[in-house]
Amino acid sequence: MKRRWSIGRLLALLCVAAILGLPAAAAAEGEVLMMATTTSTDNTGLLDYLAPHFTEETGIELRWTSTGTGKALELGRNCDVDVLLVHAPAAEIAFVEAGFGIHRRPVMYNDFVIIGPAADPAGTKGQGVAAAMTAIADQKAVFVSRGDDSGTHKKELSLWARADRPVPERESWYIQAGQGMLTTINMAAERNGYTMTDRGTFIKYAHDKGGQPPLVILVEGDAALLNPYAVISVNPDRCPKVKGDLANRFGEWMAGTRGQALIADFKLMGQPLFFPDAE
Amino acid sequence: MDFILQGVIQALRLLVGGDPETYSAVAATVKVSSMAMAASLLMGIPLGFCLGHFDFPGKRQARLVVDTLLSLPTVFIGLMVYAFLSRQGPMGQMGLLFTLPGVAIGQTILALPVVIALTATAVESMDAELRTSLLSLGASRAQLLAGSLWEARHGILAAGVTAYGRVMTEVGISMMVGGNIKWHTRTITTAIALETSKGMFAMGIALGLVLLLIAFGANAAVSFLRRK
Amino acid sequence: MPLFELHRILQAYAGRTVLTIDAWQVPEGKIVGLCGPNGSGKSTLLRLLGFVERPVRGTIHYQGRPAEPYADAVRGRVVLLPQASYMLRRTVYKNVAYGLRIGRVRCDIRQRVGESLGLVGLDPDAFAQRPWFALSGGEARRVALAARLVLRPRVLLLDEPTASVDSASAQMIQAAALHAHRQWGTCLIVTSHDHHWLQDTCDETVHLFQGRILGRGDFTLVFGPWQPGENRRLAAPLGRDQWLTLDPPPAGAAESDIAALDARHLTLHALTDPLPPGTAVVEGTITALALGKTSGQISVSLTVGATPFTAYLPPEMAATGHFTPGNKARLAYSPDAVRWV
Repeated sequence: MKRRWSIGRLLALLCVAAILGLPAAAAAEGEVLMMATTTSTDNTGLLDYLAPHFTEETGIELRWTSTGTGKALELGRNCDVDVLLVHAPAAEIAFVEAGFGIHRRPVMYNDFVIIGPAADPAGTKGQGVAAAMTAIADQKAVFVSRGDDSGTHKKELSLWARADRPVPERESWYIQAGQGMLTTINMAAERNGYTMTDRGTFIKYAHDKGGQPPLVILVEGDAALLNPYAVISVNPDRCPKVKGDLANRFGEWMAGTRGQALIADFKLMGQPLFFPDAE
Repeated sequence: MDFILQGVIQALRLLVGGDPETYSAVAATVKVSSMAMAASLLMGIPLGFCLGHFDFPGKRQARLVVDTLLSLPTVFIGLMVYAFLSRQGPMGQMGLLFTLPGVAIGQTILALPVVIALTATAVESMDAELRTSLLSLGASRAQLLAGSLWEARHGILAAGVTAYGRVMTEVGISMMVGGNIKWHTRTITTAIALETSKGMFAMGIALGLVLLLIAFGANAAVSFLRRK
Repeated sequence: MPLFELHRILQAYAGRTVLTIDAWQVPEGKIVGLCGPNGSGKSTLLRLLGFVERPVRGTIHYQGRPAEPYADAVRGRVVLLPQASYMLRRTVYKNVAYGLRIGRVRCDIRQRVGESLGLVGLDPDAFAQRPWFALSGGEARRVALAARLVLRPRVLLLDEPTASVDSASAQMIQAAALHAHRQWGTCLIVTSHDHHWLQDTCDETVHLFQGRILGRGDFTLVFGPWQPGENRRLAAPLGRDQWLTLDPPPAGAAESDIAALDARHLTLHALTDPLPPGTAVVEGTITALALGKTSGQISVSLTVGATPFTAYLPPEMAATGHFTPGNKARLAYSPDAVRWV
């Protein structure tokens, strides 16, 4: 009889756990704003830094899922999140024009850099973006691409166009990682290749490597390398369940003096990662 | 490769130091896998038992379907569950996307074929004389079913353990349906994926070891039951 | 009122007929032996009588009423010990107590289980807490029997209870079954290859062959090959110049080429005795004599060539001392007293 008890008890425990789990997850639903954002804002720790301030000042709990810009826009299109923080201007404008989003507010930018081994086998150092990309392609030097339809990936694709080169989709030296930025940098380091990254992630990467990273910045400062971020509210007219007002308050807060000041203050290794640029 | 050693040290530090982020992920993992296991066992054991015990037309086809579903990739389940739970999807009104119950639904779909198939196999492989013996000792229909179920308990327990292993270790569903939201739907596996993508390999290894520790605890409990 | 009455029973597995019985009765309180070669339907008959399976066709009455599996009238009262009995994955104690538990029998379970284990010669203190896998074949068989005896059943069906167990276990199994018969009036229906034990123990034996009941008592089966003989009869060679000559099966009967000879229709004669009129005769060597315990009948085993025959010996003829093993004797039969099966 003892044994029958143990199995019964095990099942009962499972049931109790399941029942306890349901309301616990549902009860927390108060003033919650759901955001889809890109990996760069999450991986650098910017959101971990901003969210408590935002909650303290507005009483709104910010939750976010970080993914590529492509998927983030798709989540917005499906009405699954209330607000977006993304960095792919062309796609964002198309998103708003199609009626999926409203109130697009530029809030900050960082810039992209091209990094590679210090030895720089392709000879890109100090060149303009177009010349550097051409050199890499001519030398068939290893180049690791995000390859995940993220904002960074889209930016990289635009650089090939700027260099008047087709995207080297099928070249053996062109590696499409399909993963996040830091993973992509790590892959480039493992293969002793080049890649393009946002500066914030690179600072984080250099910091994690104790300031002696195997890859260094080779190309920077070109106007084509700017990486602007914007907040977009998901259109409540299309998505009745979406919390349009909370989304607007987040956008206003980010673009307002308080949000802008906090963004400017966010530093890693003494260097700012993002630059506020709200109008 | 010093991050392997670092990972082991960090795992201890996280657990002993009571790191709130780690414990939040542990709690989410335990909660969501418990929900998924409860649901899949409650549905899977009776279904698996019927599939193994009774003869009915279409039984072989049903078995084929269940066996095929064993190969469901977790990201595909995640995608399908997302499509249903999305506000634009048929079950969007329930607001289950980015919640643990939503993840549990996906994990139940993952675990159910395992429980059904292995339970059916356990019941099928039981001695053909069991039915005769129970009947000859005066068992009623209900007692026959209960007795057969109890005789198959080791196989059913193994089914549960296997399903639990799949549920605990999957990352596709948790990521896609749960969204890896800090303090809420971040499970150990999605946290590992995140730490790895951030290049924090040691932290990833530490979390992996924590997961193994939980799995060890659960299996130790099961093996204690089995011994009795 | 008979204990069991079978009407027009047909049992088939996967479309293959394994048992057909038009009508058969088992009287109350008896010990009935079932004999016949492998595949003759003995086990199937026991499974039907034990209500662990349903016949494809026909009805079985138990104590005058139609009964079927799961019926209250038979659960825990009509109990089968199958040939390959299954040990529940539990201790010996729980195996034996299982029937009492599920039947919600009001009694001191511990005491009943101990008594039952004692009946099959297992010390309850040593065996009760043993796990199911720590038993020898003979012990497992005895535990299985104890699990049946603990119910004090009205009917105990034993399928080859002593097959593949050691002789000590076999003796204890036989003794325990007989104890149930004496103590509680349990009706025993037993299949066994142990012909002598059946003859010793049973009030009657029933012969099955190819899914049919040949009849009560002993039968000799002659398998042929059959050749056309004189007077349109069929003849089978039995050995040196010995032929068994029988009337052929009636025209239109199903394909049957095995002759069943009822022991009651065979008579034994010394080599010099005159033969009854209208009979034919074969000559063989007596190999064994046996005494039926309840019937008091002496049955004689006699080998003609390679074929074993069974016949009965009236007591007054036994007294002549002619018919002892090793001696030759003649067996008279009438060519029309045959059943083709």
